Formats: sequence, C-alpha cells, structure tokens
Amino acid sequence: MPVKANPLAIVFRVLSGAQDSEFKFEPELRLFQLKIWLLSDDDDTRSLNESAALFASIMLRSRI
Amino acid sequence: MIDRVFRREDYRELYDAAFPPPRTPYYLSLSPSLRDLRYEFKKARDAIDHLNRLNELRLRLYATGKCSFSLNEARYLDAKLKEGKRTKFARTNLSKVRHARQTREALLFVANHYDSALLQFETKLNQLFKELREEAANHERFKNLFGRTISALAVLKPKGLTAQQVHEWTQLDRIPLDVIKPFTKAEFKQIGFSPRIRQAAETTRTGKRQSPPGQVRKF
Repeated sequence: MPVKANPLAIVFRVLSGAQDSEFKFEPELRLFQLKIWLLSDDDDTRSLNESAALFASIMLRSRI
Repeated sequence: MIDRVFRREDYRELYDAAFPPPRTPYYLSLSPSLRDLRYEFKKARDAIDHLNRLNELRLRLYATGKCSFSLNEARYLDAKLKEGKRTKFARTNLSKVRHARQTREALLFVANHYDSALLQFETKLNQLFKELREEAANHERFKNLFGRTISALAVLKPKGLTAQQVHEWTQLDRIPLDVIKPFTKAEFKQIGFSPRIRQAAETTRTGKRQSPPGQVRKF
C-alpha cells in the first residue's frame, strides 16, 4: 500500500528550492498554502487542501 | 470552453493539484472570500502573539541552561513579568490555543521575529498573484526561515512536526536563533523568579530491559 505523502512536505520542499516545481503556478500555490496554514487553526491537511482549492478558484475565476 | 482555457493557460495541472479525485461538489462549489479570511486571521492575532511570547520565554529559558523550559514554567514567568495582570489566556484557554497551532508554533515564532510579512494577510485580490510570484521566487528567504525553524523545533518539540522532518524535506541545516538572549541572574532576581532546575530525562523502557534489544529470550 503506498504511503500517503505529507502535504506540508511539498510546501517546504518547493519554497526552499529543494524540489523543482512540477507545474507553472506551483510556487505561488505553495506560498499561498503556507500563509493560510500558518495563520489558521484548522487541522493541517484540511487547511492545506482548502487553501489549494481557494487559490485555484481565485486563479480560474480571474481567467474564465 | 473551460477545457480550452485550461490547456491554453497551463491551468490543468493547477486544477488537478488543487482538486484531487474524487472531485466532490463541495470543493468545486467553494466560493471563497479573502475578506473573510483576513477577518478570521485578525481575530486570531492575539492568540498567536500570546503563543509567540510564551515560546520566546521557553527558548530564552533553554538558552539560559539548566533550567526547566516547559510551557508551564514559561506561563509562570510570563505572569511574573506582567506583575499579576490577568490574561485572557488562562490555562484551559491556552491549551486550546496551543493545541490548535502546535504544528505551526515554531514557524510562527520564527516568522514573527525574522519575517513578519509572512504573518500579514492584507493582500488585495488584484495584486495577489503578482505578490505571491515575487515572494515565492526568493528561495533564500525561505531557506533562512526554515533553517531557523529547525532550531526552534529542536527545543520546542511540538507534536506533528519535528526538526528532523524539516531537515529531510528542505535539506537545510539549522540556523541559530540570534534573537534569543539567555536570562541573567540579575534579571531573574529583578523579576522575582526562581527557575526550576531541569529534571533529568526519565529512564526509558530500553534502559530497564533485562537483556539487550534484539536478543531472543530462551524459555
């Protein structure tokens, strides 16, 4: 059974430059996730997932 | 039409990362408001400031050496420093505040002292992407932040995030927290605080074993 990756790990890796971004808007997405995770008091995974959805919604709404 | 926009503007991968399968209607119907988030974070600011203050005291007690640097000790010292002024974060309330932010507490402390811009959420929607792009490109900034976070994590040891994890994720070594100054005896005397000597670590189960680990007991 594959081990589920820690979503916080990707944020730390991409922002520190330890891992290259895998898609065009990834650095901006990870920074947005970090900021919201840091200031919120939600469960870690929930906070990171919801902020990713929020960022994507904002980006898509601004383009469509 | 949406498919065409996704392909043309490289949004497909962002969409896939943000809305992983199963893509529920809940996520797709999110109607976010940055203004609500800003309001929520503004309300949380007092709790974050209080937690940062206690963590600063814990790190200073640790730097002083030989004294206990537990959260309770920091609370007691904080009360002494405030000369008995009441705080809205009594023991129960503080537990809730801390429990909710335990994974974040080391990074919150470091950001507060070294990069307070990270704790601001005043971004306007029309400037959001440009600001994020400029900030995210600065890897040195995040290397410094995460390197210092490793140092804070090594002392604070919160649940959910360890210094070792951050080191493995970022391949960074710890950077000393130069804002932390140890207490002097004169300061303790002035505050009227007698630090408790740090207790030795409890004897572990391994230490109590009758036979070395890995050795098969013969019946």
